[in-house]
Amino acid sequence: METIADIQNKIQAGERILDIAREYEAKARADTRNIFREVFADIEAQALAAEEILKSGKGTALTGVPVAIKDNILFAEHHAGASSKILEDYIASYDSTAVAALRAAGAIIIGRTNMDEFAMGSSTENSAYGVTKNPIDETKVPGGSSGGSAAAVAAGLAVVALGSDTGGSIRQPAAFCGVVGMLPTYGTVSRHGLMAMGSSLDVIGPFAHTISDAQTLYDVISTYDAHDSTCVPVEKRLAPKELKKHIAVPKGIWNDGVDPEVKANFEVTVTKLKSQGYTIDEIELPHFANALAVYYILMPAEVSSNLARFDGIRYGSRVGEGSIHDLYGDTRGALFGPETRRRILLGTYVLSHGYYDAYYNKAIAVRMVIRAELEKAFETYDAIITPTTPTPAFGIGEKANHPLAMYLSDLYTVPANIAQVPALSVPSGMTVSGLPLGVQVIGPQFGEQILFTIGASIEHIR
Amino acid sequence: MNTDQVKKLAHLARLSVSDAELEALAKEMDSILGFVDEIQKVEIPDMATVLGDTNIFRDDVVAPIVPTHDLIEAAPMHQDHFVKVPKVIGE
Repeated sequence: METIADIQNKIQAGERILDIAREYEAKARADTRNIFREVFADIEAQALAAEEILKSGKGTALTGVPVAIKDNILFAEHHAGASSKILEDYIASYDSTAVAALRAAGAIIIGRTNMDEFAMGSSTENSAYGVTKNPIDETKVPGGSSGGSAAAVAAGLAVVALGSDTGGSIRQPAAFCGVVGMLPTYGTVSRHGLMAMGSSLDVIGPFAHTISDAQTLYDVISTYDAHDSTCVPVEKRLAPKELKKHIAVPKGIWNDGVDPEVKANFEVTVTKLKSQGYTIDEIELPHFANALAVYYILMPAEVSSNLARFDGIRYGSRVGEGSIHDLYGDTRGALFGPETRRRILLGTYVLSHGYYDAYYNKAIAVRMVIRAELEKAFETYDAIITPTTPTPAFGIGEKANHPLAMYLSDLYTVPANIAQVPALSVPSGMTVSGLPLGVQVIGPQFGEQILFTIGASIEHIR
Repeated sequence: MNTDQVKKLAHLARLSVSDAELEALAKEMDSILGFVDEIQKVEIPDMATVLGDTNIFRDDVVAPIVPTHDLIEAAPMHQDHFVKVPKVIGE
């Protein structure tokens, strides 16, 4: 598998970007695991443009580097569908800010990757176009919702990739596929041109083979953007500077659903971090586990609002000819998949008159309790670590008919989204049967540098 | 949750749901709502801390946007410079 440095070395040695791009295009087109929704037709043109950037002396670390993007990130004049039938024919009218940054840096965007419909799911089984097979074991799911992007990097079909993370959608597939995946701090990466799912939770972030590559990609996409009103100006992104080498593990995270191999692997990581001079304490975070319940109120509420725009009028496809109400209902009923419909109904319920206070408002208040609890912990600790997921990659079909069981696979990842803090999943080894495992490092707001440092320590000791 | 409630929600959400699905949806939503109900037990120390949002302002200046033509092209039915919709005003 090639890293960004490997591509740079090839270019330095005189290899043409065009040839590198063609090689990746051929590999992506030959894929049989349903990793890509589409391999783009203009890869050669992009490669030639990247060669021009290089010639003009404006080359960057990403110039000539093949990148994959999730199917919910807009690339002007290219299809973008969020793996939903409702957007089957939709062509992006403009570049997302993240894609514009990649293009300006000279990256080659080789294709859009499969995902759970509108980023709702943990396996890619909710894609309207079928599941992606995990490149490490094709009987397993790659995780989700950014499963295609994780698989593209794991399979070497892209050097790095972009995903989006609302409750674990980058970190969980990164762990399942054995790659690095990061949820940046909410507000550090512009969501302009990302199809909105849960607007108080969504963040675009990187997949890579190494911490260093994840950091390079993060640096390119994390500039301030006035098009996203939640984007935080760079000078306001203040984080602790000194590493205390003090890490916390939440007590009480080892419930019955945790695979014994996950627990054993995590303990090995803890031991190795200690040998690197880190002090690791178990601490009480009594509301950490409430994050998942908060998430399954706030997220559907935001989903039901955000997906109202898909009405058969403005984008994509239309079903039905009758009255306007029939047209809305028939289009949405016929073209949204079961999980999307479930979450829209759930969101409509928690926002409806009579339930709003008991669910939505209460969840907002609990969110603040969780956030304050984590902020307090970060006064003493650099980071909080957990396994990324309670189990390694599960089998295709194993949880497809059990929504709640599927939701529980986000148990450890959801708290960071709820608190709007950054978190990183780093590969931490394998199960006996050869499935990848990941450890998650959660940091304080704008503490990406802390995560990269601790992540590199974990990477180093693996 | 009963099937009538699901039907009502589906109407509010402008989402056609077949009668055959109602029963299963009611059950699934009950199980999810049963799970999220655990938050009712969380004690909230001080509601005054809840509001953390601040207004974001931008300068009132003209800036280039996506050409209207491109946005209208994205609509499933359009003609000339207009998006085509069913008649919404009564006879």
